Amino acid sequence: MRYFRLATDCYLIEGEVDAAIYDLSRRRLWLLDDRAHALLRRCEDNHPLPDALPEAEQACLDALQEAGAGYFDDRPAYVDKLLLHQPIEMTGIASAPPAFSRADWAITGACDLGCAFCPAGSGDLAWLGCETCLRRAGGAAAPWVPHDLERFAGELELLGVKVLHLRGGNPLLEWDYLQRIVQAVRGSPLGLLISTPGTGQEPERILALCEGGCVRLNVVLFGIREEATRTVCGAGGAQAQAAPLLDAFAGAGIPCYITFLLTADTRADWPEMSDYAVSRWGIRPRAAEIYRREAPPGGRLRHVGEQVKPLRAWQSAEEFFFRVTANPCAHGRFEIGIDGKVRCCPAFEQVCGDVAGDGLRRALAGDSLYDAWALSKNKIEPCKRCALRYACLDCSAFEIAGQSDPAIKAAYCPYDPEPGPARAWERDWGEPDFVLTWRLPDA
Amino acid sequence: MPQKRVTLRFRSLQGRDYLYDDVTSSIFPWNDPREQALAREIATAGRQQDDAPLDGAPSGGGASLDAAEAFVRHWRDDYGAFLRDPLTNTPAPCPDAAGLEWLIRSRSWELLLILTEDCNLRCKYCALSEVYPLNRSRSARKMSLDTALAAVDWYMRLVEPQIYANPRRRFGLSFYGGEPLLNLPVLKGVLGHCREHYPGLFVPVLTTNGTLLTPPTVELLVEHDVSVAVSLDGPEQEHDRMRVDARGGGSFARVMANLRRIKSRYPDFWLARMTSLSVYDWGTDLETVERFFEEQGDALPRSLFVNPVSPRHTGWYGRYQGNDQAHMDAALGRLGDRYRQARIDGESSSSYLRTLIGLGLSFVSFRARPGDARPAFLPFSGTCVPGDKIAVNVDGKLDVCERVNGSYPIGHLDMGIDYERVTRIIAQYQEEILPSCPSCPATRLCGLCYSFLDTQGGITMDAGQCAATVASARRRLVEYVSVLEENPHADLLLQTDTVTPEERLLFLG
Repeated sequence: MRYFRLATDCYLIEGEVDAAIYDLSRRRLWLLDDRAHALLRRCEDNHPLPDALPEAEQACLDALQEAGAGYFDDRPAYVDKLLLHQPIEMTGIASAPPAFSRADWAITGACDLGCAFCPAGSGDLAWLGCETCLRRAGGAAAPWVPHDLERFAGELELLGVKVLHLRGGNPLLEWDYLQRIVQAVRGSPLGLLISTPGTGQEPERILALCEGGCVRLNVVLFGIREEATRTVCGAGGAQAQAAPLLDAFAGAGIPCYITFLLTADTRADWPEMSDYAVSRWGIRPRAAEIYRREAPPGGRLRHVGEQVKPLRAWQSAEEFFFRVTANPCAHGRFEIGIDGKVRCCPAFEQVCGDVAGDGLRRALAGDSLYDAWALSKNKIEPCKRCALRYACLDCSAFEIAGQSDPAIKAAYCPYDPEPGPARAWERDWGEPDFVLTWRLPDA
Repeated sequence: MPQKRVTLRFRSLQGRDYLYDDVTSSIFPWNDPREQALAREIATAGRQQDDAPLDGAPSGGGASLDAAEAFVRHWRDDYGAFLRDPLTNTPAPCPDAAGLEWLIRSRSWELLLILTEDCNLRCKYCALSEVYPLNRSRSARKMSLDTALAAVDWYMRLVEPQIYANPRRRFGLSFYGGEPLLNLPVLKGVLGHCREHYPGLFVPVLTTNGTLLTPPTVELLVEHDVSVAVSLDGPEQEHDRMRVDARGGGSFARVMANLRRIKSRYPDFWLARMTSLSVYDWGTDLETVERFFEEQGDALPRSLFVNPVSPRHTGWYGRYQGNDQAHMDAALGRLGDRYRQARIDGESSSSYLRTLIGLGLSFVSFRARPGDARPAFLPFSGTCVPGDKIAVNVDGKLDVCERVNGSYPIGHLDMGIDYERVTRIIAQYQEEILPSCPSCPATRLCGLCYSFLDTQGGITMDAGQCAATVASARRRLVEYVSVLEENPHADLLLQTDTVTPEERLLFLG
C-alpha cells in the first residue's frame, strides 16, 4: 500500500467548487483543478493510492513531494498540522488583554458641505468610508460628549489604544472642543488623527494644532477640480479651502494624509487625482469609494486601479494564521459613534456597547466586538465558500459583511466562488511567484 | 555544550511511527529515512542525540531518502526544529522587585480564600491530615470577615491595571478549606461585598465536601452564581471507603441527598454550576466508579477532575500490595481503550471517563505551541509565576497556591506581596528545577509546578520525576495519535464537554 499526505505546514483549503494547497512556509499556493482536487482529497482522507496510479496523478504527487509539500508513505498517518498557538481562546479569568490599536470617535455630525451621499444611507455602499468624513445615517442630533474629557482620554490610554481617530462630519467645526481633546491627550502616548474635508477653519490655526507631532491630519478630497467637487459635495469651496491647507502643511514640512472620496462621477479621474497629490504635495493619497447600490454595472464593482482579486502572500506564518482567525481590517479597532454607541468600525452596523450609558470599560466588556474582530473570511459570505479566502486581501468583504443587504455581499469580488464558467485555476491572478496551478489532463 | 536533540519517538497503537519535536511542538509521521536524515544532520554538526530508537519493525519504508533529507533540512532551517541549545535556552534573570510587582499586577488571575482549616469530615487521604506530614494541618482556625474583606479589597487594588487594560477581564474568587461552608457567615459577607463593590469582576467558585449544602446555603450560592465543585469519589461503597466523618461513618448518603435536592430545585444552576471532584487510589474499583457515573448520567454533577491520591511525601500507598497497583493500571488501561474507541466512533462517554482519560489527551491538544510565550525567567515546565494565584490563609498569610504546603509564603495581607521573597522562590525554581529543561524533549507537555514539587521550606525535584513526566507525555502522545489516525476529526479538545477550560482552570490545583 502507498499513501500520500500533505506536509505538516501545507493545508488543503476547499471552497464550494475550487480548492487550493496553501504552503505556509514557502508562501505559495497551488490552485487545483477538479481532478487534482479529488486526488488530494482522497490522499488527505488517508485512502491508499491505487497500485496503478495514472501517470498524471503520479507526476502531480511526485512534484508535490519534490516541492516539499507532501510525502509518500507506506502507512496511513495522522498529520498534526502546524500551529503557532494553542488551539483555544480563553475568556473571562484567562483572557489576554485585547490588542486595542485604534479608536474611531465621531465627535460631531456637523459639516459645512452638503454631499448627496452623506450621511450614508441604505442606498449607499461605502468602502473605506471609515477613513473619511462620511457620517452614519440616523445618528443622534446632539453628539455624545464624555463628562470628563481628561479621564476619558486616560481610559483610552490605559486600554492601550495607540491612535485616536477623530471623525465627523467635520471635526474642525467643533474647534474649541477639538482643542480640549488635543490638550487632554497631549503628553500621552495616544496619537491623534483627524479626518476632515479641510474646510471651516483657517489653515494657520490647523497648522498650529498639528505642530509638535502628536496630531495628524487626514484631509478628505472629492476631486481636484472645483467644478467636480461642487457636483459631489453640493456646495462650493471645498477644494478651494483644502488645497491651501495642504499647501501650508507641505510648506511647513508637517506630514499629513490625503484620502480621495470617490463616487461614480469621479472615480474615472482617480489616476489623475493621485498624480496631482503626489506632484503638488508630495503625498501618495488613498482612495475610498461611495456607490449607489443600484449602480453596480453587471452586479460587480471594481476597486480603483484593480482589475483582479488582490491576492498577496502572507509575510510570515503569524500573518497567515491571523488571516485564518481574524478580521485583519478591523481587528484592534472600535468606533464610538456620535450616539455614544460602540461598533466594531464605522462601516459596521451592529452595536457592541454603549459608552454613553455604561462607560467605556463596560461598553467594551461584551463579546460582540471581539466576535467581530474574529470575523475572518472563513466566516463571512461569500468568502467562506472561496478557496482563495486566505490569499485575498480585499478588505471590502469585511465591510460589506457588516452591512445588511445580502444581495450586495459579493459586490467587489471579481471571482464568484459559486459554480460558473470561469474557475479559479483557469484564471491569471497576476502573482506568478505566489499563485501556482495544478491541472491534470482528463483521465 | 552542543545542541541537544529534543524529540520523542513513539509508535501509535496501530504500529505507525511518529516523532514529537519539542521545538516546534509538532508531531511528524516518522520513518527510517527521516531518522537517518536527522541522525546525519546531528552527526554532521557534532550534536548530541538522545532519542532512543523504537523496537520492532521500522515503518515508512516507502519514503525516499532525498525527500527525507529535504524534510529535515526544511524544518531545521525554517523552524530550528529537533535540536535545542542548552546554553542559549537558559532562564533569563528574575526581574527585580519593581519588575515583579508590575508583572504580577498585570497577570494575576485568581484570589483564593482559605476560609477555615476545619472540616466536619475526616477523609482518610485528606491533604491536611497526618497522612501528609509536610502539609498544613487541620485545625479549628477560621478566617475572620475583616481578613476576608481586606483580602478582596487588597486584591482588587493589586489587579487594578488589568481592569482598565482588559474590559473583559474577570478574576477567580475561590473559597477553599478545610470545609469552607463551616465558615458560612464569612462566605456570605464576601459574596455580598463583591456584589456591592465589584459587580461582575469576580467568578466565585467553592470546593466543598457536599455535606453542608443545606437549602439556605444553596440559596446563597445560587443567588451569587457560585460554581460549586463537590467531592464525590463514586458509589456509596467507594465514596464511604475513605470519605468518612470523625466517627468513621460514611458521607455518601448526606452528599447525595443534598445533590438530589439541588438538582430538583435549581435545575439550571445544576447544569451550569455544579461539578464534581473525584479521588482514587490503588484500592479504588475504577470501572465500578465509571459505571456509576455512566448510569447516573446527569443525576450526578459533571466531573471536573479525577485525581489519584498524591504519592509525594506520604506513606499512604504502603497499605497496598504490589499487585493492587497492577490491578488499577489494568483497569485504567481498559477504561483508556474504551474512551479512545468512543472518540474514534464519535460516541459519548461518561463525564468521569472524559475527565479521567480524556483530559490527558486534551492536554496534548492544548499543548503549548512555539508562539505561546512563557515568562523568560521561567521558560519551562508548567509552573505559574508566583502571584498568578494568591491563596490567603486564615491568618492572612499569602501562598502561591492553595495546594502548596505553606512553608514558603510569598507575603502577608498586612504587608502585601514580599517581592524579595518571590524573587528567592523563582531563583530556587531556576536552580532546582529548570537546569535540565533545555535538554528535555517534553517541555511543552510538562505540567510540573510548585504543588508537585514542594517540600519543607521550598521546592525540590524528586528522583525520577522528570523521567516520569517524559514517560507520561510519551504515553499521552501515543494515545492521542492512535485516536486521530483512525478518526482525524475526533473531538479531543473536548469541545462538546460541558465543563469549560476556564472552569477547570479555576479549580485547578
